[in-house]
Amino acid sequence: MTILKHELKQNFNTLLIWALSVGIMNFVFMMIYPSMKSQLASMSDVYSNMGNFSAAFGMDKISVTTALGFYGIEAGAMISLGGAMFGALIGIAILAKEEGTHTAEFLFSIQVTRKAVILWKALATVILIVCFDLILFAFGYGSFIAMKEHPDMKLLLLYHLAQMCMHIQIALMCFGISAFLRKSNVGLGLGLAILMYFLQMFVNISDKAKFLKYITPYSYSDAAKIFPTGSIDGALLGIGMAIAAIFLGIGFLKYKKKDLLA
Amino acid sequence: MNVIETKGLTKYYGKSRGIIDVNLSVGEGDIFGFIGPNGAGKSTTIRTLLGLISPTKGSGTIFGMDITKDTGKILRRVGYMPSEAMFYPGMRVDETIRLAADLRKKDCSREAKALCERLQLSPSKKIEELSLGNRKKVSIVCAMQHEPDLYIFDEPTSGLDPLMQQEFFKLIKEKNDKNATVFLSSHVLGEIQKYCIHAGIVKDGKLIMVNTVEEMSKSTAKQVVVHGIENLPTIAGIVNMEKSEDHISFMYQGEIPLLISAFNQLPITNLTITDPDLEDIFMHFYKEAE
Repeated sequence: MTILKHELKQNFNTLLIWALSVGIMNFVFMMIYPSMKSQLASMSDVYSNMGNFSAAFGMDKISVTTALGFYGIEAGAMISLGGAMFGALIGIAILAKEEGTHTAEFLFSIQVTRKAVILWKALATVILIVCFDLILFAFGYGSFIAMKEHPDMKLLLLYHLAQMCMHIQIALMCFGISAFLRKSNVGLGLGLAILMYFLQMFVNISDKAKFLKYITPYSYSDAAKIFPTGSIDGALLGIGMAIAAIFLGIGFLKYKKKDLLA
Repeated sequence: MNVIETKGLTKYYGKSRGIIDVNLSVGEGDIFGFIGPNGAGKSTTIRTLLGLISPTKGSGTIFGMDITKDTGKILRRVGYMPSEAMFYPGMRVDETIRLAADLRKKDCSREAKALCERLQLSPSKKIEELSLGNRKKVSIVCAMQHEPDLYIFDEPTSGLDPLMQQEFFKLIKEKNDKNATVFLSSHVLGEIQKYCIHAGIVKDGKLIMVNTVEEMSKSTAKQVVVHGIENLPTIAGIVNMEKSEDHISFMYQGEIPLLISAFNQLPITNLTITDPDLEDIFMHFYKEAE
């Protein structure tokens, strides 16, 4: 528990900055919806018929003219990318920083086992993501209240739940990778988050790239998939969580035996 | 009982050698000094003993427990001070010390307070604001507050002012008087000579000499410094000769009357013959091993 509390404290400022930044950006962005409502209504056919461009962003499946549709497409990009990048940032650093900042000798020469350190840090990662997503949900739901809109709560909650799972998956994939690193590599983490985003765009555009949906976690957290069906694709979510568990497991096995440099 | 015991302990970093075939025994209640230059393998030995790195070959035990399998149990009874005193940013001194105690699931507040007072360490300062010496003090408190049975210090006094160095060794002596074992690595041979009971010299990853400090210091050789001549007369027993601008120094292992008679009639302006200190002996062993 000491390690868990310590990591939550150490990452508290990062959590606050990212959650407030993404949340406030989302909120502010949603505030333009009421003024654009009528224009969007007249442009909705255009948005949904722009071929691959529409498909890439899911605008062929959900309508941007509704508040929830607008949220899923426009704010959704910020929630997806912002959350994935936050998860990557936390995941790629939380283990590797001990060697990078030379605190490994302090931590691992006290009687904590490596197994305990890895498990508590992984739990801290998940808790930080959950807190991040709760704050995002608060801002998101708050924006609907501010606009006096009444979204379908089941769809909104499902969407945020799927987003949270996606953020956790990316964070734990980065966590597993960080076990192999000697110091935190923010570029690598952010690169993974962005790569997954672009893979999802290819999935949306091309039938030949459909197989990529099993790789990118954006496939089960995409509003364009959740809103029309009213559900999260359980199989893709399960595969995503399995991938996260595999990365975590490999990272665990590596870090247990790793030589920790001063 | 040997608190630390290693048999053929070897560590390679890829193809680079760390330590080779180190056979080390440190008895209970000993103060053992580990001497060697930079890169000799002192920190590698310590870090292998503590489970921070895995040995390539060989074995080791601390309190009879295997260093590769029982790391957690071993570390409960060990207080370690690394050579680099690095801590988490954004924390204060008291928070860092409390974190170390909490990780040990022990209330060390009384002992920590006493140590901070003796080392003149301000608990409310932020870690980032501390000098190297003060960070070393934090490291000392973290290593000592839980009163372990074995203290392992890696270059403990580097960065400490002379008063604090003295205070540190007073603390060591007090713990040793209560039968704690101390293992410390140092470049400062004067400290090893003054405070350690046994010492080991490590060179190029190998332990080349282990003995009591008393025996090591007890050398029949003499340290000689002569001024006023440019070349030494040819006599047997001269080793480790070093020429400077105004004097020649060397270790002499022969008969003193022979030396005196060899210097007779030479235009010597000054001659000192002294017992060598541990530094001289260390340099002698070191060059001999070369």
